[in-house]
Amino acid sequence: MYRRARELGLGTHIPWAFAAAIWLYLVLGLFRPILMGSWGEAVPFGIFPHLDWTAAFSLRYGNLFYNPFHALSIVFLYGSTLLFAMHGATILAVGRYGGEREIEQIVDRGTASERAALFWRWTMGFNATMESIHRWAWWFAVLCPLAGGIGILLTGTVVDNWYLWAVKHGVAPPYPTVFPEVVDPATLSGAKP
Amino acid sequence: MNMRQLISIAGLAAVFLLSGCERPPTDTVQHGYRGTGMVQVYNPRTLDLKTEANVLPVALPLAPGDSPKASSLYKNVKVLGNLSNNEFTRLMLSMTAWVSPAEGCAYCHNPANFAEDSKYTKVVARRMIEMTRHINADWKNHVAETGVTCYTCHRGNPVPSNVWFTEAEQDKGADFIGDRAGQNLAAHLVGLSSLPSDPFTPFLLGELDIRVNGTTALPTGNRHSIKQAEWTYGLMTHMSSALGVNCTYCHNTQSFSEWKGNPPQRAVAWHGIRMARDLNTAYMEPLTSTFPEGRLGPTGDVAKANCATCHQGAYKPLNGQSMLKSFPELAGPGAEPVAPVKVANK
Repeated sequence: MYRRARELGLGTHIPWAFAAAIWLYLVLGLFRPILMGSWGEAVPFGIFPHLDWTAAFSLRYGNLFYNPFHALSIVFLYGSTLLFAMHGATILAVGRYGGEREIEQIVDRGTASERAALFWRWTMGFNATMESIHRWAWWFAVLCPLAGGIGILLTGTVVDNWYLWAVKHGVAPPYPTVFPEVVDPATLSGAKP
Repeated sequence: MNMRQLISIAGLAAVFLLSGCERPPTDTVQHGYRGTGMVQVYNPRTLDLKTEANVLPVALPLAPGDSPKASSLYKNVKVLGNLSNNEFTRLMLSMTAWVSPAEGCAYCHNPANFAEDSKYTKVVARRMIEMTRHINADWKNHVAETGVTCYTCHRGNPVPSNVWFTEAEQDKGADFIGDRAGQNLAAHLVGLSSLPSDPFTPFLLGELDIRVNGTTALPTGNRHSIKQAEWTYGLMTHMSSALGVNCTYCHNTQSFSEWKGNPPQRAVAWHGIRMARDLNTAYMEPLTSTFPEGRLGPTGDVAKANCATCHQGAYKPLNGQSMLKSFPELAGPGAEPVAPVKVANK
């Protein structure tokens, strides 16, 4: 893919984006299982099995929501979908002024580009350009599996319990106790584990 | 394809996708600190059904006055000999109503000779009375003073409707996928998930580790795998559906393994797991050879108990109503079982 892009005289954005997805796939199915020393750590195939695996992964490694790379990955995942929806809506909305000719608008900005930019500047105080919106979206999309892969790779290998890791680093917020104190029965004398 | 066809296909697809869902509205009740998701979700329609299903049977009145001990009147009374004749007769009649209302006394007794142990059901029933007493006397940290009776599990069925057997080993076949490891069967026992559908053999019969979480932030030798987590997850899913509660009934989901800040129900459930294990190994398994083959599971094992056996979808069996108060003779003693497991003339 890289060579095809080069031979056509393109930039290498597409192969790098694919590489980001392949990175996450290899982390899940190859790199991490090898580091953990068990193929049982890899994701199973199947719709329900891989969903159950995802939940079990979080349960086993102490709540993945405290994994900062997981958090970053979610930001980029949801950010990607949001940017995609905003971009698609913007282009459709300025289609009546020729806004769908995005490439021309990059080098020869017309009223479609101006109106789209003004809309976003007035509604959220910031606007991308016809070119930069594609850079934003590309980075969001690529960083999602990149950050996610790092978070997966660290789990079990470097960090065993993300909740305790977050407590140690002051990330997990303490909540007031509302229940009477519960003692782990396994720690009581005479109890079977 | 015209617009009308498209809309009707989309409508059908939506109905199909939503057919597995419960109809709103549902009630949510917060029981932990705000913003932590410590919420129980209740479907009022399901609750109504459960209320109907958990109405206590009327307890028979106890005949007034003293009467001689059962052991002095009847032969071969091994467990209930200390009861007065009035209590004994009342309990026998109650057990018939609880366990074999359609079949009557003859389900366990030979009508020609009530004292005889020729029916396996009588041998099992005797051991089950001992088990009931054992639960009420020795497992108060799970059943408290509410206790259990035969009805808690049987509800008018000779065999309780929620029992489990060890699953037969799966056919591996020649495909490269091979062993399914007990998963991917969408079993009702684990809420139609792909989780292992027999989490009971390792945890409620065996004593494999249910706890898979590490106790330190960084790795210090905890070798429990994600696969093991899925077995634990399967057991917990069963507990959730058996009690009709969410995870947050027992756990603070900020950290499933942490005990601090958890609802006290979790400790009760912890004892419940040990109780089920104790009943299965000490009372059910020794009865394996007592049962006829037709009552045994695919691997020739005896029917065993899990959380659903008693709870049957309620957070407390029979919604926490105590029948034991009306039947104090089932409260104890809780010694080791002494009743024989052998059927006479067999």
